[in-house]
Amino acid sequence: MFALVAMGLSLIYGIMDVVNFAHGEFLMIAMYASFFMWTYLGFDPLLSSPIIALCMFGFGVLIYRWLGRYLVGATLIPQVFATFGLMVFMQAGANFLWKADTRTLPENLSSGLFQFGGLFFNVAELVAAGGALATALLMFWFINRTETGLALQATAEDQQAARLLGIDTDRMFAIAWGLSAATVGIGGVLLSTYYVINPLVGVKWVLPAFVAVAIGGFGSVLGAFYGGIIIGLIQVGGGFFTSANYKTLFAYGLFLLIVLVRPHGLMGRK
Amino acid sequence: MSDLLAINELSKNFGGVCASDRVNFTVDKGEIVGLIGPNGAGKTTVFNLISGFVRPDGGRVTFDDKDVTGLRPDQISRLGIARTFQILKPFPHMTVEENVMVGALVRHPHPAVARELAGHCIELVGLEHKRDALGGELSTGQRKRLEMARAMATEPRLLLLDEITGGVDQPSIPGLMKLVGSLRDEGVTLLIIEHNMRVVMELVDRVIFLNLGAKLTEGPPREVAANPDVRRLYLGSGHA
Amino acid sequence: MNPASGEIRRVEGVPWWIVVGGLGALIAYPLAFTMPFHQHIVIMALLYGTLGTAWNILGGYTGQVSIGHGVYYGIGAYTAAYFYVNFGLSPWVSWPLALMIAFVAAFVIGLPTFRLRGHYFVLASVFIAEAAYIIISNWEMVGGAIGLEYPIHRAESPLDALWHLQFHKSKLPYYYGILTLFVASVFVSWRIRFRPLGYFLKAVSEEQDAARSLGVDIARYKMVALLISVLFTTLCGIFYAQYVMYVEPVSTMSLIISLEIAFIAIFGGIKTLWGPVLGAFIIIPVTELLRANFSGHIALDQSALAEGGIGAWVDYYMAGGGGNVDLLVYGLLIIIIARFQPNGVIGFFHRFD
Repeated sequence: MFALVAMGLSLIYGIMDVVNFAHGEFLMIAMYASFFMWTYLGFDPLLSSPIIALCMFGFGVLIYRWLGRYLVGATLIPQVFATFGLMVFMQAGANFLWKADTRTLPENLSSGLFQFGGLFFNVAELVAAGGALATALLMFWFINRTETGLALQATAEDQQAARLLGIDTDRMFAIAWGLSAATVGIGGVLLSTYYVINPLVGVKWVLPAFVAVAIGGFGSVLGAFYGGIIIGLIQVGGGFFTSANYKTLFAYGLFLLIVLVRPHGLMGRK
Repeated sequence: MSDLLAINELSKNFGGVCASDRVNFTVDKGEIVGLIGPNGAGKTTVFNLISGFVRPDGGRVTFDDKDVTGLRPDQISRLGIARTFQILKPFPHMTVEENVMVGALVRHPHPAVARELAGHCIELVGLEHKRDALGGELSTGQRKRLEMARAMATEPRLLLLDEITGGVDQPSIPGLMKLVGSLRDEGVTLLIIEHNMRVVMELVDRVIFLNLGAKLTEGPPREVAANPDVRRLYLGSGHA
Repeated sequence: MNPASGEIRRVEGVPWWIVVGGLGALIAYPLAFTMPFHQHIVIMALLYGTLGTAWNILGGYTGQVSIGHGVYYGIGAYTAAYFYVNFGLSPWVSWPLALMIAFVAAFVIGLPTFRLRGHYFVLASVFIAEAAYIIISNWEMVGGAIGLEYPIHRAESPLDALWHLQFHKSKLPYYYGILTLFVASVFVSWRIRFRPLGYFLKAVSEEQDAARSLGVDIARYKMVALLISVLFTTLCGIFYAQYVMYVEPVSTMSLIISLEIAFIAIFGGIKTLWGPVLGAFIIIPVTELLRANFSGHIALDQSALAEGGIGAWVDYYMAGGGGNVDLLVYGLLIIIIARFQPNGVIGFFHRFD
């Protein structure tokens, strides 16, 4: 799960050099979307995930057109604060519209427990893990095998050179935002099948995802994927040894350690 | 010894590439020494090693009989080694006067004193008419002068100048050369990186020729220019 | 930054008589407007004006964009509250302790993170702030997530009230207390620019390598800027604790607080003396009014809704819906400023310079 969130984050950073602090809020609205699709339309999350992914893609592009575009090459402060502003706005907006109440998805296709060799697994978590893996694979395929994906990589490498090659970088940026939002959108839908939904859920997931990105090296999508898995394990492991309240501290500590010792991430390129 | 600066077996590796390979040389008080060589010869690396921006892997830098190897850039500056940058780094939103005052204030914490010293340095480089212009508004040639004024304001005994004529239009070059001469008259010893051979011939007392991070030869400019290896590496490659 | 020979006619672009007049107005204000809420708004504006000015010294002048100032604010608030609640110790006694803790924290945080540049520094400050928040919310000694509530002290004399820094219904002492702090912070922020420190900080914010080559010990001056910034931030935290008499994690140490502090300066315009002041006096009244008038939390009228009346929704949202209208506007303002006027509101006045 972290892997999916982290990949989207890394995508925007790698291509545009912009850290999207509102990324977690993208996750949150996808979770709400999944919730409402279920309560009002009766769509199971598994069914609604492609629809939501598509909508999120559009949403990402929209945000880019209106906001992200102006941040390319801007100085640090407008960059950081535009997305922070977006974060606060979306969080407060969710609070305003849907209150701070925590919601959970009622019974759905992925509910239930699954027994294997004496161990119980939550089916929803297994489905989510499978879905995340599938999305990640799809993403790699897209980036490494399609023409658009390769153009994206070229843009990430060197914007000016890409422009000289006739690549429409503005369009690439829009696609990057769209893809980033779509991946996190799928992440949100999958998460909604077993995790609580409230306006603050985004921060809770995205901060550790930043750590994953740092582990993988800023801008490396594959690195972010591995980083996400490592963070997931650390969270579980950390929660095992101390109280659940402190488990995120491990992740934060790890982030500080990494940026101080290896500023380009464990697997990052210079 | 009257060596102001002595470089001993100075070495630096960047990811397996030898940017600086056991370089040895000295600079005497009052001299103007030229550091030349083809692109990628490691000239700027030597500057970075002396001024503390890069830590050497091996070797020693001695300044005024003090070992300064591995000190921070600001410590080295306060000991009396100033430098300019090949890729110019003015403070873009500060006026010329403020730019130069930053250098002066390190030794003279009273702003009025620093302003006076800055004024002197600005006149020295001939930027009086630009005193209130912002660093970011200057032309390349003016920025080079600004960097020199700023460096001079730290009251250095040794000044490292990186490519003062690089990227400057032809007519400005004689003026910049005269300026370098007048810096010497202020009592500053100079170590300069220079590509323009005419400038080197006229200005410099002694030349150190670097190639692939190592010192190939050194001596008076004419002698070095006559060296067959140097001619092959340098003059032959279209720089004459 | 170039003071005209001797006489000062303008303070950073603003004619001196406006500055004096503004100060006079601030002094007279609570005498003219005696309603507690009116006074409260300006108290909060002054508090955030001080915080924004303090932040600007580090984030603006020095260019170290920190989203972690809530840590120092919280340290101030919690230290004052902890010692008062548990030992009856007046903030007059505990403030040096709060400052000491904050300075130690600043050293521990600043030394390693000042080496980071750009996004990395911002992210590191966010993580440190979040970590501090998690720790404080789970620390039973300081009340965990519930926080610390001040016992009410019935003062026997004005002196006694001053000692306990509790003035019950009167907001005047708080008002003049924070006004003093505000004026002090603005004065420091103004004078700093004429000192070598001001030049060094600006040099550091613009071109670190050039500054180092000129002999400026950048680590040292960043730390000095941080300590000045922390000094005022911590004092503000102490003030806040005394003012609301209740300290809990969300309103003192959360990421939102850290963001709000930075927003004030950025909204008004960083790297300028008046930017944070302007920011505070625009944002705070707006958000305080919104918070007061749209506090929300009226229940959605289910019966009206059942009858198909869309009016129930309108009523619900007009009353603030699920709350947070102030933050909604806050976020929107920041996005707009970042998008259209990255120099902050003061960018509209640039012809003054």
